[in-house]
Amino acid sequence: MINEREVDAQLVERVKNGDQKAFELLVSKYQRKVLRLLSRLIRDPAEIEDVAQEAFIKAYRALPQFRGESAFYTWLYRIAVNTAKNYLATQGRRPATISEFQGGDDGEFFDVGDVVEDINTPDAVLQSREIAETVNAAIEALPEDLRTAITLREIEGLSYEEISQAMDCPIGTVRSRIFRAREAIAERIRPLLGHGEGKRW
Amino acid sequence: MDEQKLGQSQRAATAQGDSEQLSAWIDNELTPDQGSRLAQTVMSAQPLRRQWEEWHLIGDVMRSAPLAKPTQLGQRISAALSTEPIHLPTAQSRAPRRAIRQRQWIYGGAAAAAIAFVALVTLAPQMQDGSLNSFLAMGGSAPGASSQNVAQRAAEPAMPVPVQDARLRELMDAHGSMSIRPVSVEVR
Repeated sequence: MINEREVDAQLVERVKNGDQKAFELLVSKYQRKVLRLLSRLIRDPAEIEDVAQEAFIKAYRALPQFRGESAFYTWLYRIAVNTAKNYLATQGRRPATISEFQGGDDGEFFDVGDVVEDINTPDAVLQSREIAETVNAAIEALPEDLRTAITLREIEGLSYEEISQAMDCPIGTVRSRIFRAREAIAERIRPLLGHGEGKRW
Repeated sequence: MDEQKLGQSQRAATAQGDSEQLSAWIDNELTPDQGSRLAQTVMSAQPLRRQWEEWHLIGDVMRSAPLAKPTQLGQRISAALSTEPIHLPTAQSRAPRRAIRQRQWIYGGAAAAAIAFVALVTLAPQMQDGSLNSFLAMGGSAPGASSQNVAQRAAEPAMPVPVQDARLRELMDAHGSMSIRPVSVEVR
């Protein structure tokens, strides 16, 4: 089996070989984490999105030089922090607490650490709460074996093998349960996501 | 009509199989080969890309509710990417393939030289002076053999016929036709 770095590495290799859609998958995977990271440096939500976009585009342009010696996301977070620092410098402002985001000498290593709460607008908070509540309700409505499998995977971070031992079932069953749990939850949140109507999460 | 239904159910089963594989890929539970194959499929399947997006959102929200924050970022970046140049494969990623091609060329050349040597050594004792000269002038095609035989094709790059022909004639004059050693000519 492969680790998370290798899934990202496969996508990175595809981008390096001309597949822009692979980069969009990396964006959809990491965009919320990058936004949350930037929200600790920049207060204005509109500015946060602008800087995040600039950071992702910088990462795309620099990807051929990415050596893969660190995880893609630590490299990406480093670019995001540097982009935010540069942005604030041009505005004559300083980030709140930049020291905790300092990485290694080569710029590829980065420790995000725990996060603080986002600085959200009331509307964004309301929408976030709606999604979060729907996800929680969908999880509560799952059959127990599906709920246990998805919780052990997403919250506890267990591998399929570890889950199969914990639940005393074959790995294939774990795989199927997690897939069915995801589909059941996605079905509940899909109406809120507004795919095809310009609304994305 | 039944075939149509069968086709639809097969496509649905395949789609579900791909979706379940995608779920496993997100969890790092595929082998590298399986992951590469699935990645290829995902790039041309919008439903799978949507599931990728939804399932990552679900995972993020389960771990941290504030990550459910709505954003247009993905759309904005997609639009921005459309004006960005597409990356070409790097020299680093091409290097191994080039090295393999070079090795294949070298091995091919060596094999061709070996075949040419064996063909000449085998055929030379059976030929008279004239027939050998004709044979060499024809590029090494033995009497009665197909003009497209492997020995001839392989020998072509290793034996420039005019040069060899002249040198062989000198050798034959000096040593007689039955003592020809083409390999020494080839080395020069």
